[in-house]
Amino acid sequence: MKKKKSSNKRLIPVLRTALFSVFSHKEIFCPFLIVALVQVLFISVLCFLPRYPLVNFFGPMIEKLHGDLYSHYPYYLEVMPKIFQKIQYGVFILLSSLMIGFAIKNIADLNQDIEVNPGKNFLYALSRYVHLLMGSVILFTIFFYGMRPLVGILVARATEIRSTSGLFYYLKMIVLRGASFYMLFLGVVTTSVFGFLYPLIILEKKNVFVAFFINLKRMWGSYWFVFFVVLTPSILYVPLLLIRNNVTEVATTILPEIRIIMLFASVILIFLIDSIIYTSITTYYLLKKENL
Amino acid sequence: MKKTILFLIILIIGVYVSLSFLAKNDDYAIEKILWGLNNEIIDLAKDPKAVPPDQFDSVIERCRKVIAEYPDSKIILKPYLDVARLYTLKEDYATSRIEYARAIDNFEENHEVVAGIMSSIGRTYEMEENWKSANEVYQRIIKDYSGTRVGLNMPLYIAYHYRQLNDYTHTVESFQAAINHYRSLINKHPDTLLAFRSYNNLARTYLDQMRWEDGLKVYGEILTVYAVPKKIPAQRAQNIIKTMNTISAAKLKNFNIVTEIFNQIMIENPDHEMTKYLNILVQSLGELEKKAAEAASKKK
Repeated sequence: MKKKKSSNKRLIPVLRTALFSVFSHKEIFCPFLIVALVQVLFISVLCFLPRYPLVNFFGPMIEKLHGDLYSHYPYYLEVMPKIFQKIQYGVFILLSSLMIGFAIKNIADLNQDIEVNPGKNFLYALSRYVHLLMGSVILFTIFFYGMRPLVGILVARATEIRSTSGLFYYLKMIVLRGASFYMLFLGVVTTSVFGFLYPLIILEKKNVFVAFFINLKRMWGSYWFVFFVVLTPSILYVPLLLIRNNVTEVATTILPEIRIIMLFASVILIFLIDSIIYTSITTYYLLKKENL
Repeated sequence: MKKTILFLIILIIGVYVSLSFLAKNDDYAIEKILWGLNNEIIDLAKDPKAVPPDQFDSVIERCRKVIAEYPDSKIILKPYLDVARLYTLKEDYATSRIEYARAIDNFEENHEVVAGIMSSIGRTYEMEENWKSANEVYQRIIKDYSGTRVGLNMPLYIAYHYRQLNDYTHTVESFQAAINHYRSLINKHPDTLLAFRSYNNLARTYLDQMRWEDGLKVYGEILTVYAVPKKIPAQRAQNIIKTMNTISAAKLKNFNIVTEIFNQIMIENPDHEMTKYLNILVQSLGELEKKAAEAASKKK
């Protein structure tokens, strides 16, 4: 895990080391796998919401929120990703924050060649849970209420363009069809701006508000590197977005279950991306700290 | 950590297996099968003559399998109807009627469904250009299922059929039969939803024959019987009044009848909240008529 001073700001070696570490140390891999499995559990339950016996309780709720049709096949599969997305927000705030903290502690131990004690590290992460949770709430709030509306404004402006050909039409189509990509990009920006937040909470035992400001201070001069560290693995998500944006025809005529397959694929990719991102950031953070 | 992961994997498998077991024969499972079959039927219906008979038989067979496997499902009517429709697409109308009859046997308590299926049987006769048999079925619907939506619209359907054929005598006869039918339903079931629907269909019957004045009078009756005692929402009453005004302006070119109807309602119900609205309306209709008369005299 230890890196030479000269290589600590080289993107590919950092990412390669992170990738190697993720798959060679189950201590890093497992916390993210737990988050992924919990999400798979939610998807499994969601698949049965419109079915007996869960339909007796959830059927009326789905019908009230989305319309009578949406508790029936195949229309339910249209709303299922939306329901899952809301569950993901909860999983991110309540569980991912804890598991990221847990993984960071494991990475730090591995980096210092200390034997990793998962039980002890988990309890340690649990002791910092309030701050991790608050950190996640702050990140979520900034993304949800600060960044996401920007895409909304952009899309709203694009829909006002009436051109049916020419430059403005292409501009409109780029904005409308690219909305999900902009969201991904804004997610990358948010994660990279607050990249050191979790390491500071876990490794420096800082409280969330202090960590928030120190993060911004330490990010100075490192931002673009961290940005590319986050961006590079996130690109893995682009093919899935491309497929998801073009799946409507298949989903409505041939295979409505493709929407569920997309959810599983999304969970697997997020698991992979998150584990690489947080391992890379933590590794870089530790190297930067050593060189201070 | 290993234990947690193992526990989660066992939990996922356990949840999935137990929920799958519990939901084995629920309506959602049938909806899924029927959705697939429905897609195939849509494809077959695009060009039924180009479809090999085996393909029809395969879909029919699978529909029958669903009927046999899920006889108590709430949505089992659909495969029954699908089988009958597939025979209609195959132009095997006799078998199609047998299948429709089988569906009726299983849903005879639901009059709305039975009336709908019987009208489909009538259509198969029409496809065979056998109007006599179709008409017999339709008359049975009118007689036995007059309270259903299909039954209520059937007298008008028959009249439209004759009108499409330019059969003037039968058209007039059928419209008159429809008027008598709706009047008798109104008298037999006063103050019911059926009577309200019958009033509306009665008005439609007059308007379809361009008997605008009679149509307006029926709308006037609806206002007196339903709007004054507030048996229908105010918005619905306003829509009826708007329809009356439109017919007067566009078809009759005068507002005498509507004004008369509105005045009558106001005299009979001086304290009613609708009276204020009708009073303003009558005044503006009077002014409108005056202006129209002035414009006409200027033109002359």
